[in-house]
Amino acid sequence: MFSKNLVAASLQPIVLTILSRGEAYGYEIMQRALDLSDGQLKWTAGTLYPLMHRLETKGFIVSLWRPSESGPRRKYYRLTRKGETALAADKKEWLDIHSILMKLWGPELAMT
Amino acid sequence: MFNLDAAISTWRRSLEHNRIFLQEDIEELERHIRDHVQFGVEQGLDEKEAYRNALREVGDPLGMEDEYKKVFWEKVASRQGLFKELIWELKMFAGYIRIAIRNLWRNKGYTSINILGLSAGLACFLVILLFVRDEMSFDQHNDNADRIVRVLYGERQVVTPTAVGPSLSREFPEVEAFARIYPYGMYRPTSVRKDSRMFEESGFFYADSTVFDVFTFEVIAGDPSIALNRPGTVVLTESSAIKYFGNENPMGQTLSVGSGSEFEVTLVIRDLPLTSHLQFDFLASFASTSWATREIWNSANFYTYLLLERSATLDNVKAKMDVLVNERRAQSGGAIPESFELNLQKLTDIRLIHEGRMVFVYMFSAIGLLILLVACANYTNLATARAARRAREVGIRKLSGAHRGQLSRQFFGESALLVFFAMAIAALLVSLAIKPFNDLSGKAVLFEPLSDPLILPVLFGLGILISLIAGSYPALMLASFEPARVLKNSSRTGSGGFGFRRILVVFQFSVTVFLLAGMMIVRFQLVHLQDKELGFDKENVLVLTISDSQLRDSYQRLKAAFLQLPEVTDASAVHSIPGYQFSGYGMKIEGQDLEADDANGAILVSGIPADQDVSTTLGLNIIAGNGFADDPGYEASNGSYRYLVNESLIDEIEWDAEEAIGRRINLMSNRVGQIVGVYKDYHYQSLHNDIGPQALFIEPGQFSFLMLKTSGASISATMAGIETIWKDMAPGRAFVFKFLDDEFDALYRSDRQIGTIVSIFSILAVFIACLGLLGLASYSAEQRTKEIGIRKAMGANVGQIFVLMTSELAQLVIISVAISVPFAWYIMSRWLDNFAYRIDLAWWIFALAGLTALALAVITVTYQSVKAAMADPIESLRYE
Repeated sequence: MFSKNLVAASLQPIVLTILSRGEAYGYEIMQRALDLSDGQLKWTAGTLYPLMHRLETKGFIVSLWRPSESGPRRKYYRLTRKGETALAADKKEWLDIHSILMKLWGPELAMT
Repeated sequence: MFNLDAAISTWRRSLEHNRIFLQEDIEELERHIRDHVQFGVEQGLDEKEAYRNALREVGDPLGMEDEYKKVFWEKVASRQGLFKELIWELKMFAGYIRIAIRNLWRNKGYTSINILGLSAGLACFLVILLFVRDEMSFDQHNDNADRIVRVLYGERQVVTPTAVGPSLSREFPEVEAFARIYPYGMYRPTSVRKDSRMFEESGFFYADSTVFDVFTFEVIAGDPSIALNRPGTVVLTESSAIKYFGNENPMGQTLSVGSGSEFEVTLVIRDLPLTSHLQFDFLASFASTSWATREIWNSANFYTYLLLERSATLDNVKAKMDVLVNERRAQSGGAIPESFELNLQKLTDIRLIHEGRMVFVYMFSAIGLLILLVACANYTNLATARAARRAREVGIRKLSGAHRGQLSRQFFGESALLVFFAMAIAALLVSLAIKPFNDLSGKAVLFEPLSDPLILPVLFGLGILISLIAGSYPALMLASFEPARVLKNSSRTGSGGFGFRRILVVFQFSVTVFLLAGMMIVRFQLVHLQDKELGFDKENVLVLTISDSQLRDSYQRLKAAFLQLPEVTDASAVHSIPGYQFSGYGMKIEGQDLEADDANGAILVSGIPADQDVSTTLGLNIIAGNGFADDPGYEASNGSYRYLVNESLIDEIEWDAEEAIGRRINLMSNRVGQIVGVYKDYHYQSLHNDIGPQALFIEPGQFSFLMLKTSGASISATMAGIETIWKDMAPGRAFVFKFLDDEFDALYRSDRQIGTIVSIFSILAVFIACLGLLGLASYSAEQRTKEIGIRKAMGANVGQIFVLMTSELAQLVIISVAISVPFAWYIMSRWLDNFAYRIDLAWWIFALAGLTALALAVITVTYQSVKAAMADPIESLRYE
């Protein structure tokens, strides 16, 4: 499990990255993150959806309701141009931080 | 059998009442849960188990709400739903109000005590606010109020020589305009006649034509720029115009003044506002007086006002003025004494500082704030006390899903509703009270809440402030109750605010004791003034005005005629009556150059022209010499003046009484004569002032009043007799008389007004504090119902229970006394310092105030305590 702060900080880039591969709905996004992280990234709906709504008000993503083959309709989210830019910026930040840490730790320290 | 749809719709309901979750958010979450359940089922769980997992994963509703709340306003704004949201808020508010009204109505006793206390407090505060504003607005009606200054002779004397205005105006570029006002009628009432209408006018003043450049008057008819620029012109106020001309147009008509000078009416102005320090009825042209062309430095009878340039500073002008005065003194060859000094005073300081009203402004502001605080303390106190009664309600609300925020909003709503209701009642009270208050204080304050730029903002500001302050403690405290604890044991929860409530009670009673002590001290001081031995007999002395020259010249015939009446025992003509003897003279004594005209080494004395019967009429106590001889043929001339002097005068010179007789003195100028008697000091001015040196001398040309000492028996017959003689000997003159004791008492009118107003407000403050106590006592009785029941069941009697109920209160009152006495002592000592003759502050006054407060407190709670003590223990033990 990751620390709470790290989970919160990584939420936006992970969500945006997942959406960059195509539109998805909330539960789907959560499942993918869970799969990708081998069960380490466990969000709650109470964290995910408010974030989705905030990203939407910022214009990074748009939402649209689509009927589902079974049960009630689903709300899908899709990345916008603005969202792509934001993702690129996020990516750069994370990589920069990552490389700084790598330099600090060196190849041997990084292995521990 | 588990039904997923039913479970989901129950879950939905828990969110639907919460506006933080939009409809589509709930839909999204529902779909999420369904997906999760489906996933679980696919993994081989049964539906019920999968649903539980899903809910656990979604997170608890409260935590979720916090997260959703963070984005709520962004979502609303981005969807342009802001307006709808506000409508919703408003509806919610209406809901709070509806519940508030229901709650308040259910507790009528509590509500009415609260509203009564708060509205009485607010009404007092408003009245005091209006009073203070009125005092602060004195002379502000002048357009250039901030640039007008009055020149003072020395530190305090308001009359200055004629030369001051013109000289300053000529020599100082800083002086834009000047105006001299000669308050002639104040020194001696002036007779003004129009045909058969004739009155003695003390409001007959003279003024430079430039008076309109300095002051702002509201013109009804005429051109102020030319109104007073030639001799024989006069400005009338509206009232005097009506008094003399009725409905006729006064413009261009003439009035006959004094011994027959004609004055043409050139301007009519509105009556001066009561907030003007300058009050006159007639303003005649200064050019009409013999002073107009004489610029002299050694006789001071004139008010001098200057209009300064915008850039001028008082310090600057004062420094230049000192230089000018020194030059003039050097040139004067002794006519201007060393002590001569001029000072400047801002127009707006005249009322507040010169006339000392600032003390009252502070005093009333303090009382107003204290009353407001007491009323707020009441409100808070009652509301927290009642928290206990509502603890169950709050607990149940919480259990059914109300949030802390909603609950505090509910309590703020109730608080605000009550406060604004109280405000409406307060406004009503003020509109009823304003007239009596004006009558009492001699003011003309208007209460126009709708058009007044001050009232509504102040009211609303206060309303919000009081709602917040008074409502915050109960709102926050109630809202933070733990529902489980509250519902388990409601009777303990009220004690959370108990320390706080005690502090409020101590505060209220400190204020109460303070005001009671202040009120008593003001009363005692006024009684002290009333009872003070004045040194003359003011009872049964009738005063007639004889200042017009015809009457004055024939005063001896008039006096002789009155003395024919059996009830008139003595009569005497004087320049001014005791209480109003202000005129000052420089006096020189034997050993100095008596005849010389310079004022060096002169002593300032009060010099009062009076005839030879003054000492018998006033009952003065002659301790040396024989007094004025009964010598009808005597006429004073330089060298042959006769003087009666008071003890203070000979003390100042360090003569003893016998030694003083026969000594020669001169009351400047040209009044050389000898002392023929010494009398015991009497209070020739109000008791605010010390007795200084005084000399009485015979100079019929200055007589203005005839005092008649009557036996006091059959007043109406005496008055009728006097009136007949007056009509006969003073034809065409209105029979206007005064009594000496009334005139003397009038000197304390303002003190008495202040005393009465302080008393009224103090009593109201005490009343409000007692109201609060009443509410609190009933609360406390209710809280302790069970305890009392058990005590009674164990054998306590009514008396013991009563002591139990009141002893704590008594302790609080004693603490309050300890807190308030030092304040009261300090502040009242400062007030008493205004009087030359004052009472001493005795410890028992404070003890009495404390005991009164205690007695009031005990009486207030007695009913509740006795009721609790008398209650049947079976009933009280059954009480829940």
